[in-house]
Amino acid sequence: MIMITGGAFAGKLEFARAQFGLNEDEIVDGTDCAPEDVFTAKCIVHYERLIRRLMEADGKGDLYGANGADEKTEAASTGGGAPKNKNLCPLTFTDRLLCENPDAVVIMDEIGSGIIPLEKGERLWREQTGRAGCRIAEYADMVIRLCCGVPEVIKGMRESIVVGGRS
Amino acid sequence: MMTLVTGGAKCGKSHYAEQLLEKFAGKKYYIATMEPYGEEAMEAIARHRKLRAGKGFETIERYTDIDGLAAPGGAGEGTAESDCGCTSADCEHEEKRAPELSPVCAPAEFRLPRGCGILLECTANLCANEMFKDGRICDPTERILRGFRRLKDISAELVIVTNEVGSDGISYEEGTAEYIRVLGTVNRLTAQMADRVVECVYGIPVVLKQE
Repeated sequence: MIMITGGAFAGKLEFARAQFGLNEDEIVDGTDCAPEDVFTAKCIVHYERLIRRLMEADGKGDLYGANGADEKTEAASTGGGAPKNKNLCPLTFTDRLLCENPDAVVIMDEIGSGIIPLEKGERLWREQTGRAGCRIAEYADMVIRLCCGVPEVIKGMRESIVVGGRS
Repeated sequence: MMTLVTGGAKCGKSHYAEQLLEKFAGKKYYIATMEPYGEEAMEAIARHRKLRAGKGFETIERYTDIDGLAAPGGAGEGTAESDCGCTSADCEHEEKRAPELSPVCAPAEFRLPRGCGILLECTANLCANEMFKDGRICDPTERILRGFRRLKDISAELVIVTNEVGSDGISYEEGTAEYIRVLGTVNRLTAQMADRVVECVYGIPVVLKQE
């Protein structure tokens, strides 16, 4: 598995296309693909958004039913904030991805470097994305991070790609 | 040796920071700066405690005034396990503390022993605690850095964990904007002081500075 990360619009997809010679029909987008598609696709882009969609599906449109809910209300204290459906649990889903599609190129934005969000659902999304990302990075043979379109291999064999970052 | 570990939320910073002190044979202290209020704080603390369990750290909860933990004039060697001994006279930690958390605030006279290993987590909480503690905003940059400098002087191995909070592109109201500015400054100055600076990216350590 190869993981590509970095901030939004850092040139991750562009880099993946050029580096790995991907055709458009080999790339699925976590923004709107059927979740199962990622188990067979050659490349997945916006995996962080797919995590969000799994959480939304679990909360019936709300992130675990936690967003927008006042934390002091009964609804939030009894229902929101925890995965209900195991199949929609981002970490379980990610483990399945590693298992069934071990050669995929997974592209995932970094989303955790801001102020802690006020909404609980947003905090949970950051958390689940962080955990899932750590798991993918741990499993991946190579992790590449892009900044201003410049790739830096932060894990794996530097020699195998064209690196413009620190060497 | 002083290491600053940074990164965004849930990027594996704590785990990496603990690994840095894994082989350290001397006395190891974990300075926790997060005040244990609220359900999510409790969950985070419980998770971190589990991560640290069996790794030989003695936990000290210290929400402000790091300098006081290492400044001369204390009892020298001592145990951190005691009643809440925050230096301020109006300390309310005792009553606010959840019963499941044993009080491990260091007593006022407690001082970290020379030559110990220290893991402080994290600057972002410490900075917020120092900035907003009296209901008004102050600039704690100097105060925090004085504390860190003191920790560096007395310890054999120091690891400080901080957080990246300035990269979400959102314009915040004055208090939060000031916090982002102050934490950014504290982080830069801490990095200058450190021998090594490492950023964690989804669990992968990226070395930014190594002397």
